[in-house]
Amino acid sequence: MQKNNDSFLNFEACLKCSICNTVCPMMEVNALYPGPKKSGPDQERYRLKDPAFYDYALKYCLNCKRCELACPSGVQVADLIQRAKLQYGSRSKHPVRDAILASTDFVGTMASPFALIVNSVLPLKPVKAVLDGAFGIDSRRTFPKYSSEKFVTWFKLHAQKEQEKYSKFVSYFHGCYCNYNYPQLGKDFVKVVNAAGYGVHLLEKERCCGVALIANGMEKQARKQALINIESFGKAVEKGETILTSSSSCTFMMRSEYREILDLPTEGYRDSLFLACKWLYEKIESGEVKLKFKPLKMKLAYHIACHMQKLGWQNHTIELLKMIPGVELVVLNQKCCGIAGTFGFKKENYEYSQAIGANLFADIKEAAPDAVVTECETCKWQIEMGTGVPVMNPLSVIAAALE
Amino acid sequence: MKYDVVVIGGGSSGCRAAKANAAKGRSVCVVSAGLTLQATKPESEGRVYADLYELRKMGVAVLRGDTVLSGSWDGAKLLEVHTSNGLTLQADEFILATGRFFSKGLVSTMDTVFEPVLGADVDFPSDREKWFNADFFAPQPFEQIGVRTTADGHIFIKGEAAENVKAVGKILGGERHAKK
Ligand code: SF4
Ligand code: SF4
Repeated sequence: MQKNNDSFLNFEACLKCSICNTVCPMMEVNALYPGPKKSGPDQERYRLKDPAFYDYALKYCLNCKRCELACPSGVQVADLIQRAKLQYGSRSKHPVRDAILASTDFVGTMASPFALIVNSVLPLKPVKAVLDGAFGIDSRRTFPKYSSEKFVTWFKLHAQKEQEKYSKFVSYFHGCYCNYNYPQLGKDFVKVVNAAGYGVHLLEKERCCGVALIANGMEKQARKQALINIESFGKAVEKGETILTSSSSCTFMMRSEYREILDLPTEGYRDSLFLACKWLYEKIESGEVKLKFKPLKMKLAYHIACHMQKLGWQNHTIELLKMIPGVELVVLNQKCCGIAGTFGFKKENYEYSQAIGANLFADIKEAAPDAVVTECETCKWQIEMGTGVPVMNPLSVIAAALE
Repeated sequence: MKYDVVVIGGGSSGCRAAKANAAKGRSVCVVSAGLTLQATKPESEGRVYADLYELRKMGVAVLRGDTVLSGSWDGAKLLEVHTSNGLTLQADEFILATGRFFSKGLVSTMDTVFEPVLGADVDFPSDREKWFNADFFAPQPFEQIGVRTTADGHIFIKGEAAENVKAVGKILGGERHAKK
């Protein structure tokens, strides 16, 4: 689309066409939400005049970016809303709850050694009632499980040494979910990348990308963590290593939001940071990598997560999955699952979150797949809870199909 | 990433072209910068949106929110196009459906009109005075401005007809005018 004009995040280019409103999942289910056009470019004029015009209903925005993809004028609608939330939004009614939900790193570190206890305690009714009453975490939510051995611990004990056999390397940003909740994802990543002939290095230092911190208004902490990551990325790039990821939202956060929302420099690594599936597909396409797949008799439904669509790399994943013999692949209509990270965990949002997800759940039930495939972990929790169908990261599917 | 056909522009003409090709069993990719304004016109309310979904069901790869930035040529043959999300799309045939001025399929400056994606030749009156009609509601000459094509719709690049690139829809100029 057009180059940005001089206005902040291009808001003056808004034509008032309302197309963004037609794709906003929150507006569809919540009459209290003014929608992207009003929350973004319209109210920006007022906010610039007087911050008192800030509308607290902006807290409902999921930051799904669907409005931005639909806008014909290149207005950064969702970025405008996130920046306004950070700049003018007041403190939450549940600061402790928000901090717990947002601090994936800290909570993960605390929970991992006690995983057995945490996992068995969290689903208990009285515990959920306390979380619900005291903290505002909805009791109807199922919690992601914590793993007793972190991915990083496993890697250092069982995989790191072997990696030195290789002559080419990539750096892996594993993310919190992989490290604390589901190390198998990281193991699958290592298996796939090794099969492609590359060794895996961890980054010198890795912090949570901060997507949940931004969503919960904790800008300062997000900035601190982002700077640590950026420094590590710079070092990886210096070594000539591509930085690979397995989760779409972390990837999107580090490639785009660091720049658009936190004003941090991304030029040094942006073109070296990719989701593993994009990297792998391009290696196969160029002929550098050849993978042998064994047949996998499965019906898979691919869900394009909202941030995945914004990244625009869904076709790489689709083409990779198509290479596996025996896989029957359905690409679902791109709909928002409604969880939007920590949003759906909050009591006041639960109903909206489920109402938005209902459309997608219905599509999945109709497709009746053996598993849903998606790059986003919060989509995974939401879809598993909403449909009972297991959800896999594409890397896990590929790892399972490797000979 | 290789397809039989890559359609540049996901408005109503682009979607129609994609659908027609997909129906013939060809692999198709559509690059759509946004939901085009077509969707807000009364006569096509919601249609483009619905079309994009319909296309995905037909197996068409739809890239929403992505833009083609440039192309690589071998003489008069377009080999591949590059998008803002960092994709390289190869195809046997390309269809240019980026619309007219409003959707930036054509861009005008003080003395020229150009097609920004592939640099296709554009026909326009050299005298700028002749682009407009002073009567706002009369048919406007600038609506006639469009890319030059061969009889079967192939665009020209610097006077040479492109082998495998056709233009469809409003970028051709003519037919409709703002009064409607
Ligand atoms: S980011 Fe999503 S929820 Fe927020 S305004 Fe845009 S479309 Fe609506
Ligand atoms: S789609 Fe873009 S131009 Fe249209 S109302 Fe929304 S922000 Fe404005």
